[in-house]
Amino acid sequence: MSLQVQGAGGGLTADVGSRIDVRGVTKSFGATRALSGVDLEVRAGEVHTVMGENGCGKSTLVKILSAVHRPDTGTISVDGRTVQQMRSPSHARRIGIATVFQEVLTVPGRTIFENIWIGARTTHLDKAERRQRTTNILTRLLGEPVDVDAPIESLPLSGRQACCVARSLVADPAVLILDESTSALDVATRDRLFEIVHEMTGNGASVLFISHRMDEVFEISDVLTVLRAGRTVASRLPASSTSPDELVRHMSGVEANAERRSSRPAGEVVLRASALRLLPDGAPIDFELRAGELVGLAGLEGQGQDAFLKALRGAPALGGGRVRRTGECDGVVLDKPSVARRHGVAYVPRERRHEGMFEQLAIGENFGLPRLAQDTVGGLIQQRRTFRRLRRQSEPLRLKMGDPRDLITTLSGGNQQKVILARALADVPKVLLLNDPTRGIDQNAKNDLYAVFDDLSVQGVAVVMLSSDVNEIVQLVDRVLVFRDQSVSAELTGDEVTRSNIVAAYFGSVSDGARDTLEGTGDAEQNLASGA
Amino acid sequence: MVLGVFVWGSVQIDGFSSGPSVRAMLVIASLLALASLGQTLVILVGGLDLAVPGYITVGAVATAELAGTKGWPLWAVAVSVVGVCAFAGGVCGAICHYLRVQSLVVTLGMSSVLIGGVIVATKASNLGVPPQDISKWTFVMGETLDVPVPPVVCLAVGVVVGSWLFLAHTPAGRRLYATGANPRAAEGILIRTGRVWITTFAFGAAATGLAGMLIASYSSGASVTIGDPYFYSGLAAVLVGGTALGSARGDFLRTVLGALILTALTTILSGMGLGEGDSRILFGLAIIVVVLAYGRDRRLRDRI
Amino acid sequence: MQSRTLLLAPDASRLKRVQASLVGRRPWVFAGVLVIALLLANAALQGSFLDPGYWPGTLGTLAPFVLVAFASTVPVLGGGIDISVGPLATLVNCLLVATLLPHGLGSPLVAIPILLAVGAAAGCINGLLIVVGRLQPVIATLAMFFVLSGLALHISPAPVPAGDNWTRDLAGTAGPLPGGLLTIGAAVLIWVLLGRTQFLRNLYAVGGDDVATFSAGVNVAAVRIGAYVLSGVFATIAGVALTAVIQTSQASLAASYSLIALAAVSLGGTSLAGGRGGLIGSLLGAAAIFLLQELLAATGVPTSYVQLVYGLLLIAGVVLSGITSKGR
Repeated sequence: MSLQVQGAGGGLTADVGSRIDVRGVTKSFGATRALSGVDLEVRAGEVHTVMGENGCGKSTLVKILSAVHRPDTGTISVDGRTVQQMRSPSHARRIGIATVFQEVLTVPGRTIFENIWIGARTTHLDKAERRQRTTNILTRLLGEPVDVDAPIESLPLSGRQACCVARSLVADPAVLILDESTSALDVATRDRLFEIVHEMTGNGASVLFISHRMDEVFEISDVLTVLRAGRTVASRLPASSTSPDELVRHMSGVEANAERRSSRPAGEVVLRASALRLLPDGAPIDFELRAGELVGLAGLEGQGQDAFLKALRGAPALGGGRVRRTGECDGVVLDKPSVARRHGVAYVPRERRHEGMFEQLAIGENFGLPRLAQDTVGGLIQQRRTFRRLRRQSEPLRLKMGDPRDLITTLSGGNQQKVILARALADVPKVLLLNDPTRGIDQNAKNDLYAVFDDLSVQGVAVVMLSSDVNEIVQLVDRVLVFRDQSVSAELTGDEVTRSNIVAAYFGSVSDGARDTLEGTGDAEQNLASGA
Repeated sequence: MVLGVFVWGSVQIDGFSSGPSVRAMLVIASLLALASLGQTLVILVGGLDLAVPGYITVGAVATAELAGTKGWPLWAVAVSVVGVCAFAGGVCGAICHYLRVQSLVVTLGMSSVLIGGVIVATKASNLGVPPQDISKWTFVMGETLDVPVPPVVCLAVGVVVGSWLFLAHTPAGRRLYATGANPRAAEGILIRTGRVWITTFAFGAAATGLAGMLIASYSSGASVTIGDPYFYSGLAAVLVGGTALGSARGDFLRTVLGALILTALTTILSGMGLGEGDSRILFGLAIIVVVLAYGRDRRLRDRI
Repeated sequence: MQSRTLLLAPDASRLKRVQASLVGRRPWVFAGVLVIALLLANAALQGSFLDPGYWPGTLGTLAPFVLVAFASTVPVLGGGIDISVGPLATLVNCLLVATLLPHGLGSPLVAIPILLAVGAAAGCINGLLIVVGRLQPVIATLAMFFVLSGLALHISPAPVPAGDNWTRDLAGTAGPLPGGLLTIGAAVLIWVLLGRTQFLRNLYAVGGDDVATFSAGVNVAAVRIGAYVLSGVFATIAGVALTAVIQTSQASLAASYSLIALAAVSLGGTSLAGGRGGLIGSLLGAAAIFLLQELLAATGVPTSYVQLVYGLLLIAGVVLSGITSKGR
């Protein structure tokens, strides 16, 4: 089917019917349900923003609309026609949907011009016309003329993202999807993009906008839709009459805050980070961790919390700074993961499949790997010793398993995660760093893990937990650092740790009580722009 | 599988299951398996070694030339073969790991260097005959301590046991599997994957070189192309045995079984009047089928 | 995912990246310098080398080198690899000499379409195994290496002389033109014509970053399969050019031609990671290997050094490409 919709074509403005209509779309990845019934209606000539916290399904929705993924059930209509199967991104582009992703997806080694016309159907334009369009669009976006034959690497990050935007714009899309694509743009380029967006919608095209910056959202949106846990919870709220607080309420849900763990007095400082910069020109972060403390790291995907946690385990941060083990280790600088591990810092990686476990190995082998020397007698590994250690570790974790000789993949996700955790705990750490430890596991296993973390902190272990799930942070931690734009945007302690405060800090609209440690967002943006 | 092929052979060809014929097949399969020990290990760690013909040639020619013509003692030959091959293998492993280059290309070049080096060193002259001491090892009607089994077969069995002990029961073996299974996770738990790569390539190369010495004694001579058939059939044996590329599944026993199947198949095919070409076609198809069943990649759309 | 957005590299390293990409735009410079040096050396040692009378013969001998290098370049540009180009070229050689010519199908108008179809089909199978079967390119083309070289051996277990036939002209002069120029020219022509379509641009893009290209709306699967088909076509032409030179069927040359092809590609500066390089580099790389071989012959060094040199060149090329792509 070829219904090349010219977005700029007039006449469409009169038609206020829906441009894109998504009804009851569901999508699962293996056992995880990413979308469980999403509705979305985007009309002609509007800027429609989809909001929601981590894991609410907005990325999956965008990927379905740009045909990277196919929905399991539900219907998608474009201009009133049901699209049976969008087979691939090229198909989506053909029917007038162009997407700019959060990641800067340029192809290295090619020129700017080539990068912009990748995947475009150019049969009706000759090269001179294409060059003219490229120059026009890029000049508008970047504010100054660029040599379109220069290699793409000659542009800074913001410029490269502008090329991705231009790649979508040259196709004259009827619907432009901006999936957090503004986060890589500097402020000036972003403002110029917004001008173009206004012009496009004025001509009848639609823009589906996804952003984690509250100010941006209100600056540009006409209509808002909120997703939570894979469902649409608020549809087509008019931006002009919706307050940020209201939005935060929708995103975080109305249910009462989960019951908070009672906090206990913390012990001596065991880990101290000073002037840690996640970017070369980033805002410095100072951080102290005390024994028996449970600290949460929160933020939307990719805001720096991951790099911060890794810096604590000894992977040097991009912008420098020091992490020291204090207390009995007396100020050892943790500049390598191996040094950190020797000094009682254990790390549980994020992606089980990619970074944590060995799918082809047995449960016992997965557990035993880092401490093989302990189980080796006369050059041979004594499996029984490994198994004994595993049993000892697995009891408090309520790790349910059959034979430790079975492959780890025979376990459920929750139990796999417990094996990985048991592996880290076998080192008897003083500091436990957890990188989203409960992602993709069932509620019972989560509760088991919460109990273990709680126990550990009672025993005086300092626990730092990065989490993409606000609920568990509220439930568990004594203190939370919220990250935004590669630095700490808010630090919430005690009663300040509430869902709405955290979600508000995600999007940069923090209620007054928690504003003390907020770094100026303007600064952060400057940093982003100049650092790129 | 092995049994099935064997029964088929007995039905197809007269004398297939007779004593001498079985012994001959066992010797060939053992040599094939020993020549593929290195390949098995390298594949387990996540690489692919195309330098196998080079190592075999080095071992075989050294045996014929140094031991046969120049009369060096066997142990001295073995030491020099191990030294040369281990160095070459180590270099390959290091280049692959530190420059993130596909091991295929590096080892292909290394193979060419080794074989070229051998040709230059021997001035492409006619080679001598390996000495008697080593020929006893691969003599089909040979006996091991009065048991009527050729020594090379016993050696292969010994290596199966040894490699099983090493891979399944030593820390080094475990680290090898871990590196092959998930290099990122392995680095995450502070395994030095570079070191694992280099030692695996070096050890594999040395083992293959030693197998080359035995091959020389079996063929009572050596030429610079002596390694090629062992490389092709050996790689096929590893893959058909079910040791999948890039997934760290499998062990040496599987390679031995693969070698047995392939040897029996080749014997049957040649008994039926089919040539080298046909068995290669068959090997190729067998690899495709086995790998399709075991080792497929992720889809592109899952990587965005 | 995350690491990509976090990679806001500092200015210094960006400069370096720009520099690297400048080298990256002319990656064949190294091979070019090597070719010029070798040409001079050859000319100095053999006065007759530059005699125009010898050119057709020289070009004819050079052609199979260049063409297998071309065949190997295309999948590498797309981020894959094809080690079955050597066997495919020899299969075409055996098919032509041992099957088509003796059966009276040897006239160019009949033989060329048949051979091209065989080559394209073999390439297509490679592509399907990789794209649909999701096999690693190395494994898929290795299996095809077995199958194709097996087929060649099956057709012609021992070398068969070709007798008098049209390919002979391709090793010398075909009409007014040197035959080698004709075969290389055919491949270059295909490449230039494809340059007018989107295929080449998409191929480079897929090799540069397949995920980005996919998300930009390129049919990555089709591009990949197309790359292997094109590789098959080039390998077919290489097989014909090879036949012209050797005038027998030689199934045993398979492995060394795959080796030469890869060496030429990496020597020509085409990144084995994909997306960078091109036919010019491979042309120069193949020419450098060829000239080196000539030089060794001219200086009276035994031909036995040739293989050693191939291997060293391949390793050098790989290390070179590894270092430049690491600087990225």
